[in-house]
Amino acid sequence: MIRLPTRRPFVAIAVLACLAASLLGCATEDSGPPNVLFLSVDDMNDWVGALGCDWARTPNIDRLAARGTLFTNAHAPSPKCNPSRTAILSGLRPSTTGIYGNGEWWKPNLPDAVMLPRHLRENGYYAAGGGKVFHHTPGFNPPGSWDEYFDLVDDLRTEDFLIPYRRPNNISSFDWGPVAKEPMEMGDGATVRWAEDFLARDHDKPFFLAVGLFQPHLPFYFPARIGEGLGPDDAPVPLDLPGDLDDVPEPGRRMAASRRDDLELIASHGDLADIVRAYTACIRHADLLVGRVLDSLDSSRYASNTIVVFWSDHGYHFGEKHHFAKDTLWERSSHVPLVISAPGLTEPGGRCARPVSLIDLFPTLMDLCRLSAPDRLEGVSLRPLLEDPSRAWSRPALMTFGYGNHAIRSERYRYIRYANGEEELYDHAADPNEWTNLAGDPGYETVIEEHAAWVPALNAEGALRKSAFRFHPTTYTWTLRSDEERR
Amino acid sequence: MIGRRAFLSGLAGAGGFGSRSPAAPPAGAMNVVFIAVDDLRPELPCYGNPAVKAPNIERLARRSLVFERAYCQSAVCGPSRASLLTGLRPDTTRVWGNRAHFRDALPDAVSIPQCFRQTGYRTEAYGKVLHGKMADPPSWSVPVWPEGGRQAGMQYVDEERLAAMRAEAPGREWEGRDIPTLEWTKRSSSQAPDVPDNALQDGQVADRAVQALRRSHREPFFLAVGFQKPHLPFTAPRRYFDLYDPNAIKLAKDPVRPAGAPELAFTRSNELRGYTDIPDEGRIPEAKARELIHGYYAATSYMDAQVGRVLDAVRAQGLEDSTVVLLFGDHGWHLGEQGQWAKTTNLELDARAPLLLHVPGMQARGAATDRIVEFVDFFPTLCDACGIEPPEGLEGVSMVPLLDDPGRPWKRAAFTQIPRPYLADQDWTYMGYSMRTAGCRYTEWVDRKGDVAARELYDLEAAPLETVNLADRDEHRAQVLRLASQLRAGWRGSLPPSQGRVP
Repeated sequence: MIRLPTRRPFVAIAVLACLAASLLGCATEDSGPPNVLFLSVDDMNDWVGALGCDWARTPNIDRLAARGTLFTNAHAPSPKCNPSRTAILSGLRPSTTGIYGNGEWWKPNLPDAVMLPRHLRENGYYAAGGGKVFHHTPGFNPPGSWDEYFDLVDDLRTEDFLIPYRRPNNISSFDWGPVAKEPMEMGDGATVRWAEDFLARDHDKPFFLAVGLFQPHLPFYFPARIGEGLGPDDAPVPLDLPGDLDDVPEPGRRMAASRRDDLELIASHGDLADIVRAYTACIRHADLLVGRVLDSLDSSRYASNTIVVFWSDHGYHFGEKHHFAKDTLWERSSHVPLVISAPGLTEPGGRCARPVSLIDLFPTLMDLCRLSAPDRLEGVSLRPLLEDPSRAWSRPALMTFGYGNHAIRSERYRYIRYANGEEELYDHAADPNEWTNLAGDPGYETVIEEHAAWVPALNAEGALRKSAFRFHPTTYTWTLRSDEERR
Repeated sequence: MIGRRAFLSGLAGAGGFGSRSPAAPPAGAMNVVFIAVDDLRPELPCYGNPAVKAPNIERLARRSLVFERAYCQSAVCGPSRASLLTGLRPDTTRVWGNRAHFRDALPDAVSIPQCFRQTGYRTEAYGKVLHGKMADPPSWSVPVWPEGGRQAGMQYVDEERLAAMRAEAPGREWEGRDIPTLEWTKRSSSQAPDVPDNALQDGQVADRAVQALRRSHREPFFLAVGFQKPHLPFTAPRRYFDLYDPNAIKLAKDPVRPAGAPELAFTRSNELRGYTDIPDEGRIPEAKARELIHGYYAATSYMDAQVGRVLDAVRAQGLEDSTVVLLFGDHGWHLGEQGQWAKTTNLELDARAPLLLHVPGMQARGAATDRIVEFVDFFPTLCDACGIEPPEGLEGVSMVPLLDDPGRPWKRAAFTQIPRPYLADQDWTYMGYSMRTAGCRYTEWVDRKGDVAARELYDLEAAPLETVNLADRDEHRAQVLRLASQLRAGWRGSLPPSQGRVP
């Protein structure tokens, strides 16, 4: 009889090591609470190789997708930076907080809100943020939010613009083109360098590391080297279907007209292809930086015990529906790349086609980190989909823009209801471009009824805008202006 | 209804293709009579042409739902039948012509009869069900008759020998099987011999189908009957020709190709060429056109009489209330319209085909529906009607909801495809992908790399047939973009609106 060598001593040692690790609260061992790398990009479309885009070339995002679960039907809670990010980080819908635009500070409007990094801090995590996580203008990172924050370094110019024609407002950001810098010399490079240093350090607590890249946000500056491989025809200008807005109700048309001047200004100079090319180059740049962060994680001691979440805050139009930029309730504005890689949980190469919202990230992370979540979160944990990406999922994704305007995205349909009651319905199985509004067509009554049931009943009044406050950056406090001052 | 449990027990009992002991018959199960007609276009009284004599199909129409917009997935026998029998489209079966068998690419595919057989049905086939010589042993409880689906020598009667026989024994009545026939090769395009119905294959198919129905049925049955006529040559007993006055037959009006359509859209009426009375090229003379239409109508009436014998046997056996009847033509046919004869185009006349469905208990008996359905829908429909769980991965949907509510919103489009060159089979250079919506037909001719070589857009609200290709006109640019997007989204994008839950 052959005796197998016993494994018992090894098991005992491993158990001891685990015990020791958990007693010490060490974040490097598999058994301890997981670390979180929360990696985001700004204004980035679903133009990702793993989602079928063949011109953006995103090998690093693709490799992250290949090792985790790629959500192919993920949506921003709102098609604009601040309402989207505030919803993601508070776990509350814009229609609950009243934060609908970029002009509302969350802190003075929601003084009691415990945002994601703060909640993690209160539960034993070390929360570090860099770049753009909350909205990037002053007043969005109040004390207590983070243990450590590395501020966004921007690439804005004040002169020598690359585009000779200017738009009347927002002069500095309306610009695009190659710059004579290396990828790591750009503003986001500084954030990445900070993140690399962070990952090389010893941490005695589990950490939450938020790395917020500003790319590919306007201005679309990119390192010249990145643009070299990108020919003038490599990035196609999206189709602006003639008459596409004919079946869109008035509120939708108004949203689509919000940046019409910019679109027409760019088009009148024949520069649509050029700006799309610049944006694509910025995506490639962002992907390169994502790759640097992933490499740093992989070569760190935290590689095997760190959850990675990659997301974009919303999408971006380049002429679709005769619109430029974001701020619409259509697929182009809300559909985003989302990857979650959770060691020991997600299967490599998982693809999930169920509709999910980035508002689900807060409860998902609480679930994955085995922490109790604040009571009021309005998303749900995506753990079941991480365990089985094809399991049944009856919950659609909700997105909101402005007071009372909502879109409900199910696996097959997008239903939009504006504050005035007007509706749109698109069948994504047939119409991925949302060219044919089916609302009002016979036979869709049940479909509309089922989707409308998910429209939130609560529509909070818009929060107080910046003009209502006086912000004191040194003390990081706000005082309400008198009515007179506001005028 | 059989329900899922019976289905599962059926599977457990079937035990493989050669099994002689399928599961016990589920009590009260529906039978199926599945009637495939070769090259039958919707040229019937129930489709608005009373000139064609088809009283038996008309009788079936009065208790069926008549589908005014039923589309095959490819307008040639092999791919159409492989598709409808597997519930999968030609790009899935990879049967694009008459040479391939669906089991070449999909050895484990389950056909409709095979699915029923696994559930405990007795499945039998008489005549042409799959194309040509293709038997499919897994599908049938007993071998198909005739072997290979078509008996050589039953396409033409040997009229010379028959005359000699009749001269030798005047007054003797000859049985159908005694009538001499000629070896198969293309001869004249029509023949009107004075013979009994069962001198020719379809009559013999009906004989055997009737025999099968008269047997006692210990298990529910799936009886497939494949009639060959009105396929060329238009051979039918003379009395069916005598039903028509040749001078009253209307020729195709304005028989010219649609303006601005690409050459790829057409054939040179290849199938008709080679018959000894047909010129090798060019127009078919008017007198011959009239003769061909006469032959097509006569062959249709002959086939209709055989359909009648089968339906009579169903009724005589008291099976009408327990038998689903599905009758269809495998694709359409051109009778000179648009300068075309025969099939193998994506045009409306070839893609659209007759379809009648009777399910006992249905509400819309004798009604017609203009809802778009496709032949890939047969599989899930028959399963639904009989309470059988269909296999996974079918590429159609059950039409059963239309049987009670024929006006409900349904598919937004039907998809049909055809390769070029003509009958290129696996070796095609271009594939024409065509989509029929409620108002138009849109077609793209795509090469092997996926590049579009030509587009067609026809307004079918303005005229029932394609007359002008609008695809390259500026004012239709947006429409073409929308349709191109819908075509790319494919059949999954044109399914009926979902019901029941947020999908």
